[in-house]
Amino acid sequence: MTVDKELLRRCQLGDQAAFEVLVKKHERRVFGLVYQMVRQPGEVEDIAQEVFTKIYFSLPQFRIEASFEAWLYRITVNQCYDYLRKRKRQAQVTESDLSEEEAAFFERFGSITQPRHLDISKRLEIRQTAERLLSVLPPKDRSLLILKEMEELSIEELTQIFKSSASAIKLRLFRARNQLKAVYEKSRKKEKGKHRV
Amino acid sequence: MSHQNLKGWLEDYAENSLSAEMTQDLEQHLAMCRDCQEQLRTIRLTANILRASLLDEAPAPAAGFSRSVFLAIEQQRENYLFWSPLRLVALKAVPVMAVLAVALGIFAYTEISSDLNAQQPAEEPLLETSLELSSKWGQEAAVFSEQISQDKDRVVSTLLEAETLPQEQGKESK
Repeated sequence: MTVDKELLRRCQLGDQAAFEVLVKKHERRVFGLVYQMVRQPGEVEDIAQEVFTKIYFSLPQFRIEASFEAWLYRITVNQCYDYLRKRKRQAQVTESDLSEEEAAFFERFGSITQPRHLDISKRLEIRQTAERLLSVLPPKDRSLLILKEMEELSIEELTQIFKSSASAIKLRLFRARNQLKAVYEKSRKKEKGKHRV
Repeated sequence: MSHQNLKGWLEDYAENSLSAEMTQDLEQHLAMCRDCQEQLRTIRLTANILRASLLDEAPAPAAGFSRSVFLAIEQQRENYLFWSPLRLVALKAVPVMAVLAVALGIFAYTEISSDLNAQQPAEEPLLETSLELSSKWGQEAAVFSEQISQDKDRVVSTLLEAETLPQEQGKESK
């Protein structure tokens, strides 16, 4: 039995100290995912608190043999959907201008461009541009991409979280990526057109 | 291996979860397929945009976060304890309703079957009657055809007699 399973068993028996250990073990991961989803630093703690409260009350129904991580991600993503639905967050900017420098960054990030070499204002600019591009995606597609790329979950793990087949997950990823790329290409063309004028 | 199948492997390829053999097959295909090259570029580009959106750090949980979780739990406990039995009833009601629906279906099926079985004896006399009738008609037809045959023989013999009588009378007169 892994540590989590043992912890969960103790939590299911009402051991509050065990639940505290569980919270401490996973709080950073939940905070990170919530922030990636909602992008509102001031809201992260409240949403994360709701996630753990839901976990606490739902623990008696949780099957020990199931994946706790998948369950935790599912509850976190659903809590973020609820928040975004309440806020009725719409795509704020669908067409942003993308400089050649930013485009080069997105094309090569992770290979030759190291973000730590950028100064703070440049990092902020690139982050905001990326955020604007991402804002065109519906929350469901955005959460899927975040879990895939930022949490580095495999297709297999995503099937458990979204309760879909591997082919359905791949199709959703394909569509989300192509939608994001289309906005990126459009922004590049717009910027190039501006320079020609 | 078809282009579509190989294209479906790109996500796994990007996450390095393909076997060595599959990787080799896909890389051979990638070398000559523009569509797959473009899709792989899309996967990498979108991953980079996502990473770039998080160049800043997510807020870290405060030291007393777990305590605030327990406070929230205590605040919600009463509310939860009120709704929990109802939620459990609702959760249990679904399988119970499903079992009841199946039981009702089986009951209805057996009822209809027994009704059909009860109707069958009424059909049997009809069948018997029709069989009797057909056999009776068959017998009558046989009698009738025998009569016709007898009548035919009688007619033939009468005709033969009628033909032979004048000849015999002529012989006698000679």
